[in-house]
Amino acid sequence: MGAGHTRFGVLDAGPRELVRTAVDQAVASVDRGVDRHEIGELFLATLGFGGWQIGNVAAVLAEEAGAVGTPTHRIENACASGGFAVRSAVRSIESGAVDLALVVGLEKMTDSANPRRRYWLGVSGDTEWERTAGLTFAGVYGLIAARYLAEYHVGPEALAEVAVKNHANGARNPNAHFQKVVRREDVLSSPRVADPLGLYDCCPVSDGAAAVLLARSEIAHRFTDTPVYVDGVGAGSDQLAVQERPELTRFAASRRAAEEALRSADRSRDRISFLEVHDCFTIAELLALEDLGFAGRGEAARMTLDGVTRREGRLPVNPDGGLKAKGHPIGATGISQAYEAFLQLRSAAGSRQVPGAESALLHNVGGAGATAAVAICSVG
Amino acid sequence: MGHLARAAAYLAAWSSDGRRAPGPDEDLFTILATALERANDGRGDLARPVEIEVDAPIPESMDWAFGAIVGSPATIVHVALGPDSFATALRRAEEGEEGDRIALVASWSADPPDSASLARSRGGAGTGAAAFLFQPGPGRKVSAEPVRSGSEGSSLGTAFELYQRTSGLSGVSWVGDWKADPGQGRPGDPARLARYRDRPISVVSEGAYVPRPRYRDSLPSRWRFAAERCPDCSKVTFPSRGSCRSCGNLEGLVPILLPRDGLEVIATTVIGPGGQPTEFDPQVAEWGPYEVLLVELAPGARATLQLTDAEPGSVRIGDRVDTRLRRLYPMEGEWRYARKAVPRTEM
Repeated sequence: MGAGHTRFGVLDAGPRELVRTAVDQAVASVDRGVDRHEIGELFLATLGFGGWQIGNVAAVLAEEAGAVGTPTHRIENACASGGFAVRSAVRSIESGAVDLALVVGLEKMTDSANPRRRYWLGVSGDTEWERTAGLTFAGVYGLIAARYLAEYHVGPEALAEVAVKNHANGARNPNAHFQKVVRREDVLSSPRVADPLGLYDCCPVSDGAAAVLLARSEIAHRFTDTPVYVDGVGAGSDQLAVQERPELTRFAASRRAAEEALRSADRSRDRISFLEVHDCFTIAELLALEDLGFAGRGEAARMTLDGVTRREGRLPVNPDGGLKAKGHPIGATGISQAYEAFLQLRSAAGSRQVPGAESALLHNVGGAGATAAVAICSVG
Repeated sequence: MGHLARAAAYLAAWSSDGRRAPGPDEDLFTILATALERANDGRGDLARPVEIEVDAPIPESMDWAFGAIVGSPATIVHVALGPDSFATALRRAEEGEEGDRIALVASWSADPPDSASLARSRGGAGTGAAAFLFQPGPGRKVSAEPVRSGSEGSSLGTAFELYQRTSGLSGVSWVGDWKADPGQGRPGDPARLARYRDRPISVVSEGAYVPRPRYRDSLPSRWRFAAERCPDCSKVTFPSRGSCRSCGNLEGLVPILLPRDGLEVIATTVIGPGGQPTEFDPQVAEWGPYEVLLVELAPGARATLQLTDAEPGSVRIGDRVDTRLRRLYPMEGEWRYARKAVPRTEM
């Protein structure tokens, strides 16, 4: 019934201000208004990047939301923190415990200088076996990308096209970290980070916060005539270390999360208008299309090169620019996807509006697939 | 009284013809470990205790690490370093009454030996390691024969002579090559190499890290590729964790060792500058980008390994690689070690 979103990028604002801005926007967006003291529970999705407040950080949300006294807690599943926080809020409402929940995602990433920033970028992968071999997330996704290209005889152009498409979408999103288009040759010639992934295959390090207000569907019309419904949620998990999984080129957690969400929403894939998927690296968007069941194995590359996933294509993917262009403030990303669904499904997304959007699938991945959450939203 | 069952060598920088200098991630411990694990492979039953006679200037504080290399209850005896110290080590190993014994020797020299010292020592100069496994039973006595003249009393020279002399003996398996691995190694400025390798280990890396007790617990899998086979579903779990990854069974898991060499490469990536965890910063600063491989140890068992002794980008999916124990980085005041991939060498 309400959603808010700060600019994503390198921001002067501190974490408290980011939370306050997103919450105030979300509250203000409720058509007939909401009393903050009616909110039964607060959820804060954040990794706690930089260590500005490692423990008990959810109390900061209560303070900045103007709701001190309300139960609050933090949800941490690395990059999937936001998706899992939405799911927890939905479960909390479904259980009958609360009628209204506020879910906020936050990360303040650019305060920390190197090498402290790289410390925090490396805390969510497998520490014991992958990190000791010299891998961070870019390296793990580099292994996955190399395997994908070799297994399906695909060239790096398919990866580059993901970046080109998402930058084109980000250029229409005033909140995006990057609002400029890039060319395929820019991506292909960018400095190598973890071959075959170059700099332009990677999402940026961004500051930002996003917030959504969820209400029990039976009372939604007290707040607005055009609520966006969460029809189903799903989640899954997998081995933390990629080396312990039978396959590199599929995320079992995503597959399970999608099946559960679609089943609980009683929705078939052909009735999904657009996708918000977790494209922390370009290869991740290709995996997502296949894991979520919108492309056969190895077919996401061709689908992307054919333009199917562009905003004006048959199945728009990441109309807001995705993590790649919009930015990836870790805890905020999953909530940002819900914000985009709120705008798109109410036809309020401006120049990046997906025509006729009625139903969305949101897909949020923790690390290199150790956790994943999916939500299905619609206009009812 | 034991007999010589296996002779193993590992030579990082044997000859002066410039074929190979020890890599930046090698040190006295890694070459000792490589020779030791090759000799240890001949023991069969690892439940039996082993005594290791060590002739190398390595501190007793590393004794626990030799035990981790062999995977058996191990007693480490340091022979006094001196002109005939390896002859002493051999005699102790050969004349022991019971159990397995390994005489282990290594010499470390930052510079390749010149041809004069190679000639004087009959090849026993420079950097290298050897290990000789003695097991109970009769056999020709090898330690009594004089090992000396011409070798200038160099322990490595003594080992070299013994290795050559035992080559025709029946019942002795020979492992390794008494020459440098050919064609490997990254050319490097010796001064930079020394600066990297010999920097103080007080450097504590910043990053998510493996605390010392967890590191030591992990060594059977990290150093020896120890895994567990489930008696119920027959699947292999690597690294070992005390439970079957496939079916969750906790009972009767069978410890096994997975192959260390000839491993198929499943995936590979080259980590560019800035893409590395912070504890690898000094390595990247001195040696540039590195390649990381995902290799298959056995069906269902994979390991993530850094590539060494080769240019990054030189190994591809489908290639086969060997592995060696190498230095990782300093942590908590000591060097950490792990297996790394090296280009395949047929032995």
